Amino acid sequence: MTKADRMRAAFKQMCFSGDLVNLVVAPDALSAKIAERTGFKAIFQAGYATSANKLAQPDRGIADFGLMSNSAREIINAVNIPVFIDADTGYGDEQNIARLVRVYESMGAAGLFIEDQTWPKRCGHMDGKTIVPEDVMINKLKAAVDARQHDDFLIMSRTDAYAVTGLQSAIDRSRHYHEAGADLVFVEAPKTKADMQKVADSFPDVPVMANMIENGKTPLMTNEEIHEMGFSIAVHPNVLVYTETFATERLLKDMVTLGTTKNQMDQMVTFPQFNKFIGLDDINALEQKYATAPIKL
Amino acid sequence: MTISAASFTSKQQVIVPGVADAQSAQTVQEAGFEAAYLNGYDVVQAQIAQTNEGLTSPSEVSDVLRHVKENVAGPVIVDAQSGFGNQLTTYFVVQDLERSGAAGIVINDQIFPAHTANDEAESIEFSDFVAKLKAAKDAFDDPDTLLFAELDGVKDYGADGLAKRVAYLKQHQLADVIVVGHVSEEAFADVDALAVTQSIGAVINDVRDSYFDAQQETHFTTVFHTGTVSAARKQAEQQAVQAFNAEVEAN
Repeated sequence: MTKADRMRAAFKQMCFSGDLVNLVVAPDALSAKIAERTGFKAIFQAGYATSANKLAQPDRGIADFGLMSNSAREIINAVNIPVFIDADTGYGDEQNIARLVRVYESMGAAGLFIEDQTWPKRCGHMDGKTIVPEDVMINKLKAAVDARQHDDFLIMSRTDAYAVTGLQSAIDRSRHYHEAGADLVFVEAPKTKADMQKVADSFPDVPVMANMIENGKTPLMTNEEIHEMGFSIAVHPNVLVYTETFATERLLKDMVTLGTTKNQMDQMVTFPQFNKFIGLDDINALEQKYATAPIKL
Repeated sequence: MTISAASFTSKQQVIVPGVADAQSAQTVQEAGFEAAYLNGYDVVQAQIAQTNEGLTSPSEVSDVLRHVKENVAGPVIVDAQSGFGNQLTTYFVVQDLERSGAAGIVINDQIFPAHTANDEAESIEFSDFVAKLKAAKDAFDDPDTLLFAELDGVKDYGADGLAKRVAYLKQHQLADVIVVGHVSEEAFADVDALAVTQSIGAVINDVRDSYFDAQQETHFTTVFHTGTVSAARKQAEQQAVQAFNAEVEAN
């Protein structure tokens, strides 16, 4: 069994276990490794964080498939827990979707979601979103399902219809997307807890994801609340970007003002701590294992 | 190394061979051509063994371009397809390609994602195309970088619609060079006739546009030939593999 086989199987088991799958979006390989070390059982790779981390740009469709998939591969290779992928709109038509599924599946992703926004898309909690006709999205989902090589590579549908045509339309679309083959369902950016509850209640037999963005359009809830509502997956997509930005800015301002980092020493890990965390001992041991031994012929 | 718009718009026809990667770009440069055309059709074949240019993403194209420019000093014109989205994506795609070493950039008027097959290529509204060209021009850092506007929708808007579009683009100086692509066999004579009075170039896919004979006389100021390098490479590889097979069987 390959690592990819294990990751897909593990993620599927989590999603259908009845327990809440607690996901954080990792902007890069380092943050993914930190998430793994701190106890996350699976992580997410998504557009907002990747656009910020790789391009220093907002989530407005500037990050393309090449950039997103390269970043995903770095993250997947850095950890031994499942990584679920934000595939945005699929970056084109059904032919692009088929390629994308093959690429993500072969790199060892646990699954991906495809959304029904027009391209270039916007973060789901930004204003001004537009969506494609339902049949266009259904064809994309069918193309994704047809392209996958393994049934446990999970396909999630995401709809952004709530902001455009309302809650019931978003639920109806998601129902049709599930019928078209989506294993998991995600209704983006409901504005009230009552709306969240209605979404969860509409899919009693399908794992549904809740998206928790600090200061976003959806009320912030605890994982316990989300699970009690009936959601199977909770994702926290932006918290690491905001935290990293806050910490980096605070440190750098101090450096500009004081010309030293000594007042910030208690806000960072130490040289030996980081080397231990990043696996320096393991790398050194690996090199030692394959050290050249003298041979007498 | 820069190129001038005058080279591509004069009556002395310029031939620009399509290239797929650093190796073919180097071959074209060594042969003394004015420029090489890193285009979607050749790139998608070299990168993922497919023939639909729309399967590549722009960052994958710019990766290839950066490899090309490591050892190819000559001008490389790059196919930015439909801008890979709208005006916003066009702006950033063009910026990335110019920074990666493009001497000129081609934007076509297809709906995203662009397609290689003639029957899959659909046209956007002309006003949207104009907006993309403005975004592309604004994204350039170097005033010498050339913008090529590729009109692919003759089958949708006809020769008359093409003439109106060419006139508008010229009147408003929206591109340095205008080229026409996805020309059908039926429309070819009309498009070439337009080239008699207007300085326009053409993009010819030597594999798919089988009606076009490279030796025939046309009035295009520039002709981009795509597909030739990929087809020749494929044929050479097949011959080499067959030779290996024959050697194996002989032994």
